Amino acid sequence: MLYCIIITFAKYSVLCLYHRIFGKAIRRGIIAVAMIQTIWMVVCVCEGLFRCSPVQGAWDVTISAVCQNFQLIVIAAEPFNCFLDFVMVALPIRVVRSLQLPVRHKIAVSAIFLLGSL
Amino acid sequence: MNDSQARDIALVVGLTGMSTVIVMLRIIARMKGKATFGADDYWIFAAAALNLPYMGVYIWGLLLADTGPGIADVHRGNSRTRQP
Repeated sequence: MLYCIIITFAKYSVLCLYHRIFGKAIRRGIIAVAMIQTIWMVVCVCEGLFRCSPVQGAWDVTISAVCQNFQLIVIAAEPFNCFLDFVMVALPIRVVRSLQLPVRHKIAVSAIFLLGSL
Repeated sequence: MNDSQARDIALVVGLTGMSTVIVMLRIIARMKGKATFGADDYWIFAAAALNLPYMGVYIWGLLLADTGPGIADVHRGNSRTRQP
């Protein structure tokens, strides 16, 4: 649960950096990715809170509880998170392509932004 | 503590330490460049601040993994009905 919040905050930081650098050029893309990431975080936090029924079953092993399969939930949630990562990394590429620079420099600048995917 | 637990803890501590160093370098770079801190800096500070207790709880869970019945089952979270 905390992992979802940490990942979302880190992505907010990258999106704010993009807004600082590019301004209004990719503003709509930044807002769209931020909104989708926020929804993903809320869903992830709710899943973490209500994984077990009753809720106390997540931390109290002395009561009987029905819990969801954590591995399946991760397998379902993480590909969407990775897709958002790719979208976020691809956001500045469109702006870099429109710059008045030699092709080599455009490739270098794009490579610097793609390093953010690491 | 067995070898795999020790290795996991070393990996977690190493990665957390590395990310903390990177955040500190970011702070130093901003202060040396006399630039103001922006929203991007505050969000990454918040992520780094939350990461420390998250890693602490993760390491605590690794250390507890071999103690008591059911603790490891809670972390695995298999879909099942659990009896006390």
